Amino acid sequence: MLFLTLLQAENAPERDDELKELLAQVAAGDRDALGELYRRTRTAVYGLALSYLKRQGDAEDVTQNTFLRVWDCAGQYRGGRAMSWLLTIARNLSLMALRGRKEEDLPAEDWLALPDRPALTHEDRHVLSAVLSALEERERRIVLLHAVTGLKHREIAALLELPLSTVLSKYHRALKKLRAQLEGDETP
Amino acid sequence: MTDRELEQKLYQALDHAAPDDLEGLLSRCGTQKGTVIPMKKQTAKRRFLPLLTAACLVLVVAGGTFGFNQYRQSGAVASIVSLDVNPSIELKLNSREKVLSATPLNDDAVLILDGMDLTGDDLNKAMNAIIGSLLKNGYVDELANSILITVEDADAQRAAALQQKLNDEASAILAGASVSGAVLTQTLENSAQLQQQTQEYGISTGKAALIQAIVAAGDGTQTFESLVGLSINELNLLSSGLVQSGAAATLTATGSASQSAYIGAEAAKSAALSAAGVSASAATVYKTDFDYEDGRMVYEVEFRAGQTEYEYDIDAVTGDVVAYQQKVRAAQSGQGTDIGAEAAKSAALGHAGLSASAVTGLTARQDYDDGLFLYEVEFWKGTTEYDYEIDGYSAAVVSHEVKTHTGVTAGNSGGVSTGGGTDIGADAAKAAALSAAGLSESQVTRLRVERGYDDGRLEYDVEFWSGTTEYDYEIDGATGAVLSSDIERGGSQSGSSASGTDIGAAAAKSAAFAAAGVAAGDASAVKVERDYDGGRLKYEVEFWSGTTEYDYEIDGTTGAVLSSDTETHAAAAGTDIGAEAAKSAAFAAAGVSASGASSVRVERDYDDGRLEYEVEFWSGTTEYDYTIDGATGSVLKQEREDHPNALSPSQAVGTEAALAAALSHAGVSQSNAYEIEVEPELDERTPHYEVQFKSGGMEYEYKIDAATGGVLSYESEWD
Repeated sequence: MLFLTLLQAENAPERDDELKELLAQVAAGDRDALGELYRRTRTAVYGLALSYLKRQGDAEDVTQNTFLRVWDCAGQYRGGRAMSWLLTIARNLSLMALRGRKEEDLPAEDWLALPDRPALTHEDRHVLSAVLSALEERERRIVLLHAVTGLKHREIAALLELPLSTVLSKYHRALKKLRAQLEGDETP
Repeated sequence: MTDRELEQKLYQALDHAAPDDLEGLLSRCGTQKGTVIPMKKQTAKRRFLPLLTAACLVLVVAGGTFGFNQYRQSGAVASIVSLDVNPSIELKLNSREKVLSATPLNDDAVLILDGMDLTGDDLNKAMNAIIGSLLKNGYVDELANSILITVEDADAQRAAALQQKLNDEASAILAGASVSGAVLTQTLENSAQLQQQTQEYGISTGKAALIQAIVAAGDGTQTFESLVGLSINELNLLSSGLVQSGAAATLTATGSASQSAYIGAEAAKSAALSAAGVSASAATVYKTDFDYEDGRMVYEVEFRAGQTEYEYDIDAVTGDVVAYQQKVRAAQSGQGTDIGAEAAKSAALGHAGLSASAVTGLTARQDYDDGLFLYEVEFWKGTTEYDYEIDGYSAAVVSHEVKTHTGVTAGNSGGVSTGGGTDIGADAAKAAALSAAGLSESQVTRLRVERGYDDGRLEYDVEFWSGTTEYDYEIDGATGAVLSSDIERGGSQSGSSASGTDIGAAAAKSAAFAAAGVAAGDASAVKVERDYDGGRLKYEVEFWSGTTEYDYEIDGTTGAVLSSDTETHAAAAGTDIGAEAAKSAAFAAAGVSASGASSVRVERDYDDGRLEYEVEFWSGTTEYDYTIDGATGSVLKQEREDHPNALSPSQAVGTEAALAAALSHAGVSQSNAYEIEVEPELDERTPHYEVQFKSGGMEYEYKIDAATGGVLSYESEWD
């Protein structure tokens, strides 16, 4: 089931038309449409926020605030990929949240100790831990975006304002590092 | 673990970690506020909202007396501080620098002050709040935007002190937000004329004073009226020019105001209007702004005449029209029949006066914009790019954009120069990509060509589909060489059954070399990895040839190429000894001969601006890891690890045997097993294979001794 979902995310065009429809309905004040939009895209928004903020709590706040913004401003949507519009909002909010932080070194979040997220398995925690510790900024953003948003590499390049070739090579490097980290963790 | 599986795990982890609190969200959704999101108007080729990087801070100090009589009598207002970006805000302070009132002087200012009650606040606190709001709402952005702060106080000394304080305070706030500034200081006298202009044009006294200074110091071509519509940024640019020429005696400047070489907003406006064939009197110009596109500064001029909206980009140095866009605001007459992509293309081509055969990269895409159903049609002719929006029911041209790309110039920030300055053009780039793919244009669909810069090098991005395979090429814009390629095959994942044939690593390598057009002897740092992917066997083959890196996935049963990835690395600015030399250096340092090394891996990378090669290999049971300086070949770092109990790959039983042993122990036949994974762990204290698979609702994990094939441990659980 999950694999199918991922495949679906990769066949983006049809799905994006549906998101556009939902945005139009949200602009008209339809809360159910907002709920559907939330259900479909919260993971992508969260993934982007986490890639910037590195902290669960902050990323969660930005995620919820993003959809609040969407509720208020869906009427501003002017065409183009709906997912990109959503992610631009998330990105702006993430950047603002980053600016709000002091410069001090925040202690690395201990993903393995996080409480009360019932769906979060032990393996999930390992994966997230690896992503946040083993990768550098851009690698992390690129690989998270590619994994959850259904954006193609070139769209990710546009969103992050990086050349496509950089995105491709960082993406591959990130996966290599992740793989090394995760498989290293599994040795007895 | 394959890439796909890795991403799957990531997706799963994020999906589980992401908040799922719809109720909480909905409870916070009241009436939709429709607040403005600070997004600039986007055309199809624009980038997303840039990070905030720069602003100019302009301070103007006034020590005047006019207009204060009434206030001085009341004894309340000691100083008036006003802030201008485009929003214009006026603060009235008492003698203890507390805010008595905060007045927005235009619509933008209303937005900035929204929800804020600054009365009774310290000046510092108010400044913080206002500048914070400016940043948050996007009024200060990467274009050298200015904040003009004016202090009016009858007491000249107090005014000076306040000015210094505001300067420091504002700079500190902006620095805290990673924004750098330039300061313009002015002393002036208030006057009746100034007050009148303030009222008439709805601007603050400070802005009026600045304009007056510019007019007075200018050569008589500028009138007060002509400058009123300019943003503070524009005025700052204008005034800095005057300061440098010494023409404006009352102005001093510090910091960088580096845009003084431009033609000016007036000239840009004229250029735009004349190009559009619209007279100044017929047009309402509502925006003239700087922007940075395609490696040059441009003025963006937007105006409306009649029913048509115009947007022009004017080169800030030469005054040439770089791009323009016109949009007719016509309502779409309800539902009708979809004209279809072909008709849309014809409409666009017809408007441009071009035939389909004369253009390249012709595409049409459906889109919705402002509630209209449209076709977006794009094509190139030579180095000119065309972008059309065609009404999807009536075939009318809703908007069109034409962009000329100049010849290639040397890179912006010291990037790699493209030498002679040639640009092969979109057609040649397209041809190069198709040729590399071995396809003709008639065999492909959804062809797209996009021109762009990467580190000062001109490149073309060419994309197209053939059947269910997607091709993505980057072509060097000066030479036509293929810089990188990405081929993704679609199709089902059913693949071959696990009990099919296995072509073997050698055949997989050959298939990869053949696909790359590289002779086996020309390949170096060859690496082959065998993998299972959802029950399908495949080989990952990686190798270098010269400075090009190749990455192939070969179907382990059929030998077909599943995916390929090539990357040509540009030569480093200094020398680049190359992968071969790096390898040799590493072998030499280790005292290992090339033939004595196995599982050799070479990776090229930059670290802190220095080119490096990472060379990894085994010799016997010792593992080596070298970092070689890519310019000199010297050893930067070395690591060595002995694995006395390790088995070299040739001594181990092999992944096939390991899998067989595990399946046999579990009593599961290979055809009933899925999600099979076999990982060699040969450098452990007890060299083994980790075998995982699922069958009949159960999940199995085995550790198989790599020397004997015996079962070391196992686990099974319900799936």
